[in-house]
Order: sequence, then C-alpha cells, then structure tokens
Amino acid sequence: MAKITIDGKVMEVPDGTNVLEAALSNDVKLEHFCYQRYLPVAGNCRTCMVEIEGPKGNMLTVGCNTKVAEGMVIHTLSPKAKAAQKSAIEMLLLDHPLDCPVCDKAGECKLQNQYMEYGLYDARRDVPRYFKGGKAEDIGEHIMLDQERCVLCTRCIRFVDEVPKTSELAIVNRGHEAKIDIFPGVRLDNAYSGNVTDICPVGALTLKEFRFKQRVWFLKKTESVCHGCARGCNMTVEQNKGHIYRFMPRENPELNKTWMCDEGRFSFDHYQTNRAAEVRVGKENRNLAYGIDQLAKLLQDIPADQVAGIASPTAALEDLYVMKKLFEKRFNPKNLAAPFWDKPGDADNVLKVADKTPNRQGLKLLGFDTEGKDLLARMEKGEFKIVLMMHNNPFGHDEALAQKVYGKVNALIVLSVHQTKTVEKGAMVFPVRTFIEKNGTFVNATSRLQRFRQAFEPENPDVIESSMWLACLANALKVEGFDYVDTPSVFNAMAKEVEALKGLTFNSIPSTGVVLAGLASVAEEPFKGIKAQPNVLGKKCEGECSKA
Amino acid sequence: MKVVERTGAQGAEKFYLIAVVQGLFLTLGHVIKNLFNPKRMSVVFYPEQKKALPPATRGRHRLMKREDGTPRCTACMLCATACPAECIHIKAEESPDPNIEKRPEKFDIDMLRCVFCGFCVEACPLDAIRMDIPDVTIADYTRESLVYSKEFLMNHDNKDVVTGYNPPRPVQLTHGPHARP
Repeated sequence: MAKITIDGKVMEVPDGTNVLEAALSNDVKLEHFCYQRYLPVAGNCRTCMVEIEGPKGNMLTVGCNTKVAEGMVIHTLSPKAKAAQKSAIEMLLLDHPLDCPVCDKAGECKLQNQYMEYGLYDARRDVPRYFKGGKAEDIGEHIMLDQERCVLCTRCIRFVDEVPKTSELAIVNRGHEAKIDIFPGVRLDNAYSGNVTDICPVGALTLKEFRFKQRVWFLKKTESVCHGCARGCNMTVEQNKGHIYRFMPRENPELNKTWMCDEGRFSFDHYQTNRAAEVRVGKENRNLAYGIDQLAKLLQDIPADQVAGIASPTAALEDLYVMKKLFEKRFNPKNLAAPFWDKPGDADNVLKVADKTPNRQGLKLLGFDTEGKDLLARMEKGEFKIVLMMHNNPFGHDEALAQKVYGKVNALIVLSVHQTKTVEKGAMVFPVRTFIEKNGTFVNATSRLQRFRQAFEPENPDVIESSMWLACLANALKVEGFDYVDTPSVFNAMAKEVEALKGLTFNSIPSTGVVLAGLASVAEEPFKGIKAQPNVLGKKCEGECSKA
Repeated sequence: MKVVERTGAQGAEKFYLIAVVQGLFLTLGHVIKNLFNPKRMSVVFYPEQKKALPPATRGRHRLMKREDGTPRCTACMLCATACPAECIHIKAEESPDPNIEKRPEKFDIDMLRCVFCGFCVEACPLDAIRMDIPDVTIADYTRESLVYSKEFLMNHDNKDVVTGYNPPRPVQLTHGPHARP
C-alpha cells in the first residue's frame, strides 16, 4: 500500500495502481479517454493530465501511465493541470465532426460529456476544417465504422489484440491522415466484436443491431445476468416501454470484466419474438385463474404417484425451489427430474462455455436429478397421467419419440416462454415470464450465485413467473406453506433451508455475485491465457487509511 | 410589515344596482352606435370569413425539405425528446447517402396529443420542423386521420411563408454536401 495525496485528500492505495485509477476509485474526478480499466495503458489522449510535486519542481504528466509511489502529492485541479486537460480536449475536438444529432453515441459519448464540462465552446481554429471522410463503413457482421468521428484512442485495437487476440484493426496513415481501419481482406468478425462499440468513447464504432433504433437517453437500464450460457456474464438490460433494444455488459472484475460475447449480446430479440401469449385450456384461450382452477380439479382425482415433473436448467433458482417443494409436499419427489436436451455449443478460452443453459449448477445445488433417465423411461412406458413441464422438452432431439411419449400422457401441462412444438402438444399451456421480466437468481458454471432484476412488467397480467404459478397451483390444491408474495420472498425462504445459501437475502446478494462454498465448479475460470487485468485496480480508501 | 385594513365597498357603492344600471347603459350605447355605423362592429363571420393570423401564431407543423425534395430531418429525435406531450413518433433508417447517414422512415405527429408548445421547433438543430402553416382549427372524424404522417407534413411548397413562427437560430449545416467548404 502507498500513501498518496490527491488534491489535499490523503489516501492509501494498493502498490502498482496508477494515479488515474487511484483518483477514480476514491471519488476524485479525473477525466480520461483512452484509458480502460481492463486494457493496457496507451496514454495517447492526454486528457488525464495531473501535476505531481517533485524534487525538481512540479511535473505535468498523464495520470494513467504514472504508478503511485509512497508520499506522492498530486494535483488535478491546479491551474497548470486544468490548462493541460483543456488543451487536450481542444486538440481532440479540432476535426471531430459535429454530427451529434445523427450519431448513435450521443448521450453516452465521452467526448460530448467532456466537451460540456471542459470545452472551449468558441473554436480557435482559423484554417479550414479537415474532413477525413470514411463515413458509415461496413467493417464486420455487427460493426459499422465512421473514421471521421474517431479520435484514435486505440481502445478497440488494444481490445482485439488482447482479448480475442484476432488483431483485425490498426491505425493506417500518419499525422492528420491517421485513421482506424481493418486490414485488407479481413473483417471484424470475431466472437467478441460487439465489445469494441462499448469501449469506443465516441461514435466511431457502432452496432448494426442498435444503430438508429433508439436514442440512448430513452433507455431504462436494469441489472441482469446473461441467459445465453453457463458463464452468466453480468449485463444490463436496456429497454424502453417493454421493448428491449440491447444488452450491455456490466462490470464484474471477478467474472466477465467488462466484456461479453456477441452470441449473448444479440440474444435479446430471442426473448421478445415467438412468445407464448395466452393461457390455453384444451383448445380454448382462457384466463389464468380458470386454468389453475381446472388443473387443480384435474389433479385432485389423480394419485400423487402418477404425476411427473420436468424442471429445467433454464429456470431460475426460485422456480426450481418451489417446484421441488410442491413435489415433496403434494406429489412424489422421485417423479421430479430435470433432463434437458440442448444442442452442444462452442466453448473458448475467453468467456464462452459449452453448456448453453444458465442454471445447471442451480439444479445441482437443490439436489435435482439432471439426467432423469429413469423418469424418461417410465414416461415412455406410459406410467404417468399428468406431466408438468417447466421450460423444457427432453425429447427435443426426436420429434417422433416426443409425439409417441406425450401421446401416452393424459394431460401434458406446459409452462413455456416461447411458442414451441411442446406448447402445441400441451393439453394446458401457461405462458410464463422470461428472466428479463422477473426477479431471480442463477448459479453459473463457476458456482457464482448471481441475481437478475425485473426490467419491466409484461403486458398480459396472466403471464406470471413460474415460481408464482407453482405457488398459485399449490394454493389451489390447498397445500400449506406456499404463501409467497414475490420471487425475492421465495429466495429468502429458500436461503433459510439450503445450506449453501445460509445468511443471504435476495437484496443482500452483491451485484457481482457470491461464490457458493461447497458447490464444485464445473468450468474453467474465464480468460485463460489472456492478460485480462493488466492494471492494478484501485481501492476505495475509507476510515483509518484516509487519515493523514 | 404594514397591515392594510380592507374596508370593502362603503356608502353608495354598497348599493350595487347603480353599477348594474350603468353597465346596461354602456351596452345600450354600443348597440345604438353600431346600429347606425355597422363598420364599427368587430364581428367576423367565422367559417366563411377568416381573420389573418398574427405573425407569431404557432400553427400546424410542417417538415422542411432539401433542394432535392428529401426531408431535411435526420431523425435525431431531439424534437421527440423535447416534446412534453410525447406526440412525435419517429422511426429512423439508414440513408443511402453516407454523408446524410440517417433519415426518418416514419415521422408521425399525433395532433390529438400535441399541445402546440413549439418546443420541437426550438429543439430542431436543422430547422427541419416549423409550426407555421396557418391552420389552427384542426378537427376530423377519426382519430387515425389526426395522426399526421411524414408525407402529409411534407406536402407543401417549401417556401418561407406563412405565420412566421420559426424562432431564429444560427443554422449551420456541418454535414451534407451543402455544408462542406
């Protein structure tokens, strides 16, 4: 630890931290542009200029490329530092086109924000503006490049060099002709290409999927976790009036840093198309209360041993818990399993894992049978009259077999998010919410319990969370102990019973998640062979350490 | 602080009938004067006759056009952002001209929601929307027909005419073929 002083504020920060990181983590405002926490330092924008006291007098230097040292005295607000910061911004803005109204980055653009704060407003340029050209160039499957807006911070170049290690981008030409471009014959098509648009501080790199769809200031952001694979990258859901416009990675230093794969990033359309819309009983569309009522009547005359339940690793921990509890209290817990058939996905050393379900570890945590061979064999024999199917289709690989097996069941009860083939076969169908429309938790492949929050309420009030649906059914069957009000209350009840979750409440789970002790990790840690954290992260210094 | 005592009407003033009669005489005076001099009357026979609107009137919106007839609007959504009634619905699309880059595919103004505040005109950085068509009596038989489309809003001869409600602002196009030196 090194004791330093920034603007008269004394603080202790870890050794090897740079001045910029020390300032930012201790609430000292210092503008920066080319510096990104999880990329190597380039130090080319010069906007984080600070004045450091030294034996030969004060020295102006960049904050990002200066490591802290014991007793360092730093000024970010001195007239010298301020003038240097201001002139750096002035240089960046010299030939930057003023097309903010058509630029997709407007509203979250670092250059725009800094200009509002430090800008000179009156340009001092007396020679004609130089326009590089190169507007709206298609450089990859998801990416558009605008060379005119680029300020050459090289964040994107450092990203493709360091994380996916594909190196498609480079600066070409020199001087005022310098611009970012792809190598000839190469396209920016790597599996993580979407990240370059997040880190681009200006509107030079934009996403085709988001381009012109919505202005960023209309978007409402909700903390969430990616549903695409067992890695569970942290992300925010950005929506307006119930329409999702994009997924953005959310910083988690212990898991995905600030990165996310394209597969997960562009999966948002999947959750708002082809949705199961109405409660269906037989061939008629009815409301939820009627459906639950009919189902309760049906279940009353059937021996508990002839009811099977199929859970799913795509369901939240709360859904699984309520289902398990219902089978323990009312039906036979041996008839409950979670066999899941899914196409195996690709894995890599960065973030992706082969298991494309978000909560298979959650099934293990609650003691579910994830193979369920015995249950499926009994289903094929026709031992069950009623099958309760939650977000799942264990016979997805074989349509003829599915037809045969489901034909032997008297009533197939389907809880589904999407309008699938299983939904068509169901005797009763209940549409349920996606993870975006509900609160809940997942346990990822490295045993990290992570919370996602509800982004918006679906239009149809009959579309409820699977956990709440199961609780409604339990209440209709007059089973005691299902008086849950919402999913957080389910989690809080579950945390009291499950050993690994002891002491946690839904709201006390940190936004970066907690690693559950006693649950073995089934995947390798992310970023194998990649220097994903080249900078020592700063640490907020509170209490004792900030005393002079 | 000084407390002023309010006494109210006193004496003859309290007898309001005098004032009432005075008022009646005033009206009668106007009636008699108008009878002998009809030009003095300030009545406009409205649906047949229309008064010229004052130059600061905020009328109906229109979308201004470039020289080639395409909309000046670049779908930047600043008008929709400024709109307190949320009556402007824009859908943007990619323009074939990379220097224009963005253009509206759909530009609807819901006149049933519009409060004629003129914020959209002030917000527009390209002077693409003006509220100067002298049409202030907007009525129709269906709700749908009162949602004005881009085509309807661009159906004018693009002249600097009409009521004159177009707040002055420095208009400097930094993009597009007309703006470059």
